[in-house]
Amino acid sequence: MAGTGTITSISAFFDRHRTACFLRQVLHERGAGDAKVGKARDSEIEVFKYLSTHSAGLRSREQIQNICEALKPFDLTQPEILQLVNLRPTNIVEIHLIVQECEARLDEARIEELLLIVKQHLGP
Amino acid sequence: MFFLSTLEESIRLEPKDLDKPRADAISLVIEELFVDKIVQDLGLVVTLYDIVSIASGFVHHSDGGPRFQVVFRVVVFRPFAGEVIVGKIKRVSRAGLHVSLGFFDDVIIPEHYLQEESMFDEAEQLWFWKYVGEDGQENKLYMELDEDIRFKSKAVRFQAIPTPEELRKAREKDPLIGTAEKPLALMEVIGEVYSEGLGPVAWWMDDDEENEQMPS
Repeated sequence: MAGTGTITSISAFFDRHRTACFLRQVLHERGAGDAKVGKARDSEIEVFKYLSTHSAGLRSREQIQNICEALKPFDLTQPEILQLVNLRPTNIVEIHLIVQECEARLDEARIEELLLIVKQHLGP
Repeated sequence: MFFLSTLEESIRLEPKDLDKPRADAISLVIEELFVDKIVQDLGLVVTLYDIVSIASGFVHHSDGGPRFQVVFRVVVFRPFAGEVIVGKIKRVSRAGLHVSLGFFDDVIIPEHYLQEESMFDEAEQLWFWKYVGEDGQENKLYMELDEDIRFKSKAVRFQAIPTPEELRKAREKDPLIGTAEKPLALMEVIGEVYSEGLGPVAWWMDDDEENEQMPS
């Protein structure tokens, strides 16, 4: 396990931005991704595998903080921001899925802006 | 999908583990007890996050192993209502789709939560969506096994572990016992795919996206 100092500061962050990509980093440190470091249990490796295929990869706290800043002007709720980071939508249909009452809150131009931000911060 | 939860438990160490660093020995016991297990009404425990506090050990009468009151945090998997998640179709039946996330196998999309105009093909034993294209052409879009499917979590159901009394009373086909095909699931995620954008991921990709590599 990482030193207790790092964990207490990361945990407060985790609580607020409990994104899947952050969990992936935690599991990676436990040895889930690296056979040599391998102390992770089979089930933890399964979760790591899922996160590797389905979320934004290893992201530092600064990167996550940056995208939250960039998303502020859109007035999104916490669950909406969480899902944007976890799902990395690439088209309008996915945005409509994530943002409640999307037609009322975002016009097409805003949606394009949103997609661009997602691509810039979380792109391949 | 994942959140931190603080738990408090009385953890017992074996006498043989008393020479190990305290936190390490306790972590191992906690991991054995909790990781990859379902905690009723909470969710599936993914990993031990950290130990918050360990209260001094008590040795009970005639037990060589000390017990410690430990407060610790675990990462739990439990989708929130309305969360959009991607999984793989593992089994298909008349009742609906069974979807797996790899680390969690009990996601059910009941047939009444499929897209409107979904039908069951008896011959193929698969569900398909009868989709009328812009040109008026009728298309059968099948939901194939092992396909990536995007669904929205509608509800999470927990089942209490049956008591010996309940097991004794249960008849052969009782869901409490479960069968080899459908073992008793202590936690089930019920999902829907009827909203636009849900269903097999391939259905909603833009043409140019289908040729892109999946970023890692």
